[in-house]
Order: sequence, then C-alpha cells, then structure tokens
Amino acid sequence: MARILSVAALSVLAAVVISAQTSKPAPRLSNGKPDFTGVWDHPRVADISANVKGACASGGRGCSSVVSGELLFTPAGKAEWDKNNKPTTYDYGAHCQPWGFVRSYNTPYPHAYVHHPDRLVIMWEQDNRFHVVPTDGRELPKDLEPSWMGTSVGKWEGDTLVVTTAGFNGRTWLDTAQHPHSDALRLTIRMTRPDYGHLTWDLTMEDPKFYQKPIRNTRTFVLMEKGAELYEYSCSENNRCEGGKCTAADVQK
Amino acid sequence: MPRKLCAVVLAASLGSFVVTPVLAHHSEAAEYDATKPVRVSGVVRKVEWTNPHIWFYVEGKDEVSGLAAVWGFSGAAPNGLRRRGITKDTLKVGDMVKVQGIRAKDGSPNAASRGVTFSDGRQVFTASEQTPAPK
Repeated sequence: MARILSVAALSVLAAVVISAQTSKPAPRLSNGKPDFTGVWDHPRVADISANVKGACASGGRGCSSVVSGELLFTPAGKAEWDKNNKPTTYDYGAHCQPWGFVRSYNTPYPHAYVHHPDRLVIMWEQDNRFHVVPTDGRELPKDLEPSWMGTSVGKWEGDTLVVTTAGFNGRTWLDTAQHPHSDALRLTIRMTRPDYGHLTWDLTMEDPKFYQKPIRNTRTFVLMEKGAELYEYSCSENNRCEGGKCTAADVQK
Repeated sequence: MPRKLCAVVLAASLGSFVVTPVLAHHSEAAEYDATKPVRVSGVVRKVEWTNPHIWFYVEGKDEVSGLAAVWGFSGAAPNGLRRRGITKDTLKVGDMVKVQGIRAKDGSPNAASRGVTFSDGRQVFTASEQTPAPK
C-alpha cells in the first residue's frame, strides 16, 4: 500500500512540476513581444490532411496538428498528385535535397528557434537546416527568387507573430504523403506562445495552382525539457539503398 | 538511461512494430517491400552508426525466404535513436540477434529493420518511426 501511495505521490509531484512549467508565462523579448526561443518537440505529420493528437515526434506528449479546410485539387494539382503517387516516385528528400518549408516542420526530429527583436531564426534538426524570418517591418519583396524554402517576413499582431512565406521553387512536397505544391504556394503562419511550455503554430497554405481552397493545420508544439539540444543530422552519409537499388557493404561481398 | 530500464521502455513500444505500417522519411516504400517480411537470426558482423540511417549486418538465415547471407539492415537515424536511449553501444559486433524487417525491393539481402531481439531477451525498436501510412 505504501508503495502505491509513493507512486501516487510521485505522480502528483510530477504533474505539479509539469503544470508549473507550462503555467509559467511566456518569456518576453526586449521589445516586449513573446520570445519563442527554445527547442520544440512537434507532431510528426506524415500527411497534412490527417489529424495528429497527443504524440510529439521526439517522445513528448501534448503535440497536435488539427486539419481544417478541404484538400481539393485543381486539375493541375491532381495531375501532380497522380504523378507523385506512382510506386517508382523519385523522392527528392532521399537524394538529400531540401525538404521544403512545410515538410521540414513535419519531420520525426525537433526544431528550435533563436528569437531576437528583429528576427526569428528557425533551425530544423532535419538536415540541420536554418531559415531566417526578418521581423523588422520590411515587406515581402515583390520579385522573389524561387527557392526551396521560400522567403519569409514576420509582423506582430499583438502577441501573435504572423509569418508570411512565398517565393518557392515548387520542387518540394507539403508532406511525405507527397501532397504537391506549386511555385504559387503562399504560407501564412500565426505563432503564439500561450504559456512557457507551448507554442501554437497555425499554418494556412494557399496554392491556387494546385488547390481549390486553402488548407489549414493548427499545430501545438511542446517545449523540450531543459538541456535538450538539436543533434547533428547529415543526409548524404550512407544512403545505401537510394532510389531502391542497394549497394553491397564490404561484409556482404 | 540504465540498460534494464531502457530495454523495458523499448520493449513497451515493440509490440506494434510488426503490424504498424511505417512511413520512413526516405520514402521507404520506394526502397523496401512492406509485404515481404524477413526474420533473420544470426551474429552481428558490422555496425555503421551513420546518417541518414544506421546499418548493421547480420550473418544468418532468413526464416521466411530461407536465404542464408550477410543481411544488411537499415534503421533510424542516429539522432532519433539517441532520443530513444539507443546508442552505438547498444548493438555490438558479435551479438547474437534476431532481426525483423521488410525486404529490399531489389531482391538483395537487405532490409529495413523493425526491431532487434537479443539473446538475453532484450528487444530494441530500430525502425525509423511508427507512423500510419498515408491514405
């Protein structure tokens, strides 16, 4: 009985500690805005049209991705989707090309922010890639050079950072389920930190070339425990079965 | 994490690895055939603790196909395994193991591993992830 009580007491203590962690207010930048700095566990989203609840990609709990809006292809989008879903599909990611903005957020590995008053630096563990979001009041340039990860700017609406990203090269997918996007993709992300331990990431994807309507994923990220860091990830080191053709290792020859 | 606790934690997640469709980040479906399971018992000959997937080689016989060979098995990336408490010291050359996985599409003696069972009963989930396949 004493053992059961001890376990119960420990459970209550753990709940109190977690509660204290999450109920603390979000830290603030020197300009008074919420500071998103930290290493964040996010939900593994293999398919942007499916909800994810509870599990975080790196072992945490409380992550989620809730879909709203309908995923309706245009004829061009449907043609690309059909092309992607043939069994012999070439996955650019398997060839170590950049995963793209949305797909980088979907990965099995966490991401981090380094936040300053004039910029938000996003760092994904997947491929150890980074992306800078200026928040100094500049507008998104009109003539954007097409790129894998797009070009972003951020503006504050109260305590919500609204990040707009466009200028994609159209060579990435929105997810590993291979939902395509075109170079017309435009992302609007509304980011808030409602408390110390959580970040709300509300993504709207608009791509009139490939989708009839915007698609929205509202996600919750969970702050990883103190001391957690991003690890190294090098994509091209040992792709032995790249493209479906394996090369024999020395011990197999 | 202590080895025993590690084994318990990992074993807890092991039960579903046989039946759960796995969608690896490298479009695993393009490289491996989920309908072709392999179960190889044998001795670990080599371990490559590398990105983007670890590889380990087991000399033994696949009880499904009957093929005896040095079987190559891919696993998750070192960063993902590290967060599960699995390090390069978990799997050693000379260990007797039984490995479950799905076979490479090219017919070579290679497979994507799902889990490893050691001779002392410890079970380690080595697959990239457990994620439902897309619709």
